[in-house]
Amino acid sequence: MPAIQAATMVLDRLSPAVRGRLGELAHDAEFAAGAEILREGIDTPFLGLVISGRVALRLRIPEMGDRLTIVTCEAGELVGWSAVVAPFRATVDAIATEPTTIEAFDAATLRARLETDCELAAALLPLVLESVSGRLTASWQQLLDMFGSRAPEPW
Amino acid sequence: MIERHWSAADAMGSATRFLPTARLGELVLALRGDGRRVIGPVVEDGALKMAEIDHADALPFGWTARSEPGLVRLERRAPDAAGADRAFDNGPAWSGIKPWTFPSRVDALALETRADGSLAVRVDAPASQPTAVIGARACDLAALAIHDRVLAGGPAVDPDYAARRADLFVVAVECAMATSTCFCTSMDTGPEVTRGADITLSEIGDGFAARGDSPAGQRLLDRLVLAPATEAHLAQAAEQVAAVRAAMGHAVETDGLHDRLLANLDSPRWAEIAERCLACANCTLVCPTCFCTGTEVVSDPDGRESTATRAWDSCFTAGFAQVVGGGSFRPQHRDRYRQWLTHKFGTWFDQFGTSGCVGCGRCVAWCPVGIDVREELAIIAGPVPGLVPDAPALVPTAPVRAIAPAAVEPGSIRTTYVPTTLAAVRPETADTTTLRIATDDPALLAARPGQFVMIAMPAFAIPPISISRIRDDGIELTIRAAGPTTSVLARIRPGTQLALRGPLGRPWPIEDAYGRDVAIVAGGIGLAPLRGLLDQVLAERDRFTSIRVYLGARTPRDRLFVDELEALAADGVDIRLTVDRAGPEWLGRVGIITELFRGAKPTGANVTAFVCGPERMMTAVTDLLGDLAVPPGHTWLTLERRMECGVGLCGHCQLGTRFVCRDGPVFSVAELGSDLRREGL
Repeated sequence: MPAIQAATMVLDRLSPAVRGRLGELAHDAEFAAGAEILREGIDTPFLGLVISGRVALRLRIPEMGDRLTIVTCEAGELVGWSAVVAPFRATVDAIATEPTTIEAFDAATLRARLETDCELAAALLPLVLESVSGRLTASWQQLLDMFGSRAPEPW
Repeated sequence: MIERHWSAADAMGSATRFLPTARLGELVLALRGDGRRVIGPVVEDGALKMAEIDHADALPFGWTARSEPGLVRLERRAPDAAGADRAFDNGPAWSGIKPWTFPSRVDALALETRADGSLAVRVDAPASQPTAVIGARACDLAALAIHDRVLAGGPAVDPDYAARRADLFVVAVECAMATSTCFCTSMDTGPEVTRGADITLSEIGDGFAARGDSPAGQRLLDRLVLAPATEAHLAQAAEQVAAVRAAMGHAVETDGLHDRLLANLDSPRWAEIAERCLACANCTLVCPTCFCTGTEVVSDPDGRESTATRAWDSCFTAGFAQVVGGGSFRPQHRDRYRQWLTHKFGTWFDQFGTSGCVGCGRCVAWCPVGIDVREELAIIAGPVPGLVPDAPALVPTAPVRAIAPAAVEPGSIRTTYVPTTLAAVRPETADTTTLRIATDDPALLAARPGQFVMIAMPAFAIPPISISRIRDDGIELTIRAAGPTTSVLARIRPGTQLALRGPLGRPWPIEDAYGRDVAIVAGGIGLAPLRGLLDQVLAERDRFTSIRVYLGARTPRDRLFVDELEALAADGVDIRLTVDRAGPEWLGRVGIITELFRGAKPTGANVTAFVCGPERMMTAVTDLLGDLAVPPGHTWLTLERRMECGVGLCGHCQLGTRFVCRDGPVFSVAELGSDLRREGL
């Protein structure tokens, strides 16, 4: 299966008509390794679907001297869900760690379309919610720090 | 079916004699004359205890007993009262025989570092001390038979028990009275003595009907030159025991009890019991069949010599199911009571083919808050379908499976330690080290991936450690320093001698994956037991249709075997890695391990997955593999439980019907079923 087809499989769950209307809003965005895609606290410019490459979502922790990568996104994963969830500001920094292609849906245009196109909203928002839910669940598991040192062992 | 022993036919065959009470002392003297110490019931601290006696006068003549839940009272009969001259009308002694065949503390292993640095390993065989017990009840003998099966009839034999048991002479007494807590009739173990005795006495009138039940017992009775018991004696003995049977009734309905109990693992009654249960462990200490033990290590001040002691433990204690990380698999009282009761009356059958209860009632009488197992069983297990008109049909919530066959030949698991030498040390991460152990021990060299060893050195606990690689000249162990023992193990120098016992446990079933896609999924230190599997899979890679490795680590710095894995990846092995967190210098994947499946899904019935990591991670991976249509029988996990003995004798690592150390630690998801996720099991 071609990589781009695999990466966009998530959109196969949309009806052809809805997908077509969404496609009208899309443009490909290319990012070099190290390029900043989102910045924490700044308006999120687009909702994106990673077509290829890898995006690191990072939080700044000044006391620790730098940023911590919380999760990475690869082909087939959504980036920038905050484009459609108020207050529409990025919750993390997103950095391309290698050359990355994203199918991007402009935030303001998409939000406006979702206001008027209920069918599109009903189809797209569950995908966004699924992504947010998966990331939330993953964060909970990471919070458990399962692989880390725990309380003193009996031996 | 209880056989009737006291009959005229016995008398005609001279099998049963009459031993006058006045001559009971001759029996004791004869046993002592044969070089045996004699153990019998004595009154001590207001209770009946089995203790060494010099003569028959020490027996509790004239004492009778009354018991009820939470209460035991000995009462002295008036000198002129009926029964004032009887010795055994007082029920089972609280201690039973167990302290003499399975003492509460036994030295199991002695280690000494000699001046030249070599390690002396010594397992003390118990000094042969011929012993006779007088006054054992039918329930005591049933308990002895259960211990014979548990401690000497399985793939691992407790050498101390076997030695003590080999030279035990038993003079049993058939009960002529039952206390209110006795229920041997329910468990089909008494009151008649039907097995396990050398001589059986029945106290009648001014003496005893004495039956020789073994050749040794008959010879001893012959030496006493006793008259045959009369028809009247035999009739009185038979009437006595029949009256006891009738008085006891049938307090516990055992029909289908195993299934009824295991179908009620979620009963609200467990929590209600926990409000009363003190988790004091009294019930397990007085139980004649409870066999759980722990290992305690005592060292000299400079740590050159130490002794590991096997000591009674109890599944009611907080630390009993504690594992690496400090957590306990049974954190609440209700979990522990459920473990005890379901083991005793349920899963014991799966493990040993018998009930773990003999109906002696000691746990009822000696429970400080008077919890009565007979009552709890009736409430929790419910009615027997068919006996009660409207009783619902049984719908087990957890299917009962036979234990997967491990090494089943009695005594086939080695329980001795062999000295080995630490040949090399390789730090893997800040807290994890790989030890290369040199040995020419054929058993260790024949280890298979997934097995483990117990590793002993003077002055420290004896942890179970997974074998991470099997070499031609030894094995490798990868250890994370997380406690005092593992911290020391991670710092010892090459040349140090270590005592190893193993290999133990069930290995990964690599042959099950032949012809299939292999998925190896490892999180954290969980890669250690999978490293040997990866070695073997790669050595036989033509046997598999594909091989994929999915790895999770806490941070990039916590990755194990980095050089090896990078070399394998360069060689074309599909290795995918994610870490839980990373700094900006890390350009690889960050996220939970199941996210790795997004890029390469192990899908369908042709996949065999081998998974090791924290249990929470394994259940998440198992769920996902199930979603991807990988059959439960194709997903193999290695479980972590507290393993103290490694051979299924100490009880710590029990999970439902299994001992993880002996029947696992590798299990398929199909074998584990709902037990994998059930809390408190």
